[in-house]
Amino acid sequence: MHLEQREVERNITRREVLYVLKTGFHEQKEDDFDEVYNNWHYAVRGKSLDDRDLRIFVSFDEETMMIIITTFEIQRKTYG
Amino acid sequence: MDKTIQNEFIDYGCGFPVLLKNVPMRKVHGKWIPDVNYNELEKSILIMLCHKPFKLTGNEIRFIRLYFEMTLKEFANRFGVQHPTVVKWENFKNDPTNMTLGTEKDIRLFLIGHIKGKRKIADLYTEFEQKPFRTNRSVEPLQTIEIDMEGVAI
Repeated sequence: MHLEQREVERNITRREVLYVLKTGFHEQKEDDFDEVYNNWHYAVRGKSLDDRDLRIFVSFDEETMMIIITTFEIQRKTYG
Repeated sequence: MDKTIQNEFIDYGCGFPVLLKNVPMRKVHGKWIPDVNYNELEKSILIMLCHKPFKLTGNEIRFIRLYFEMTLKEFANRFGVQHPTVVKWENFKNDPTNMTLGTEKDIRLFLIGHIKGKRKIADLYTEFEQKPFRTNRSVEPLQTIEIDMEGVAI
C-alpha cells in the first residue's frame, strides 16, 4: 500500500490507514466515480488508535487488488 | 502492465523516510508506485531499528507502537511509564527521544522478540553491551534507514 507525500504531510502513516481499513465502515454516500479510469473510489471511515477520524478512498485494480487513493483526517467542528 | 526497477525510492509510509534501493515499480493509473510487500518491508525496518546504532526517534517509536496496534496507554503500560511520557517521546518527531537507555533497550528487545524469536534476544542484548547506541544530536538531524529490496520478499 503506497502512501503519497500528502499523507506524509498530514502525518498519516500506513499503519493508521491499515487499522482504519480493518476497523472502519464503508461510507457509501462519499463514494465517487472516476471517469478517467472508469472505476469507483470507495470511502472507508473510521478512528485510528490515536482517535483520529480518518476517511480513506480506495480503488480496486485487477492486478494490485487495491490501491489507496487518498486519506483525509476529518476535522471536528467547533461551535461557539 | 508496465514494470521496471528503480535504483532508489524514498518511502514515507512509516512516518519517517526509508531509502529503498533496487525497487520493483509498477504503473497503476498512470503513476509509478513501488510493487513491494509492505508487510515484509515493515518487518525489515523493525529489524533494522533493533540494530540501529543511534537512539530511536519520536517517529520511529510511533511507528513501533502503531505496528503492534497499541494505544498510547497500552504502550506506556508495557514499558512502565505514564502515557504522557509516550506522547513526549513521539513529539520528538525526527529527533532522538530523551528516554532512558534502559527503556530503549527494553523496546528493542521487545521488537526482536516479536519478530525473530527468543534465541535472538540474547544476541541483541550482547550486541547492546558491546556497542551501546549513541545519541546523534550533534551528528545529523536524521539518519535515513536504507533497505535493498533485493533482500526483501516481494
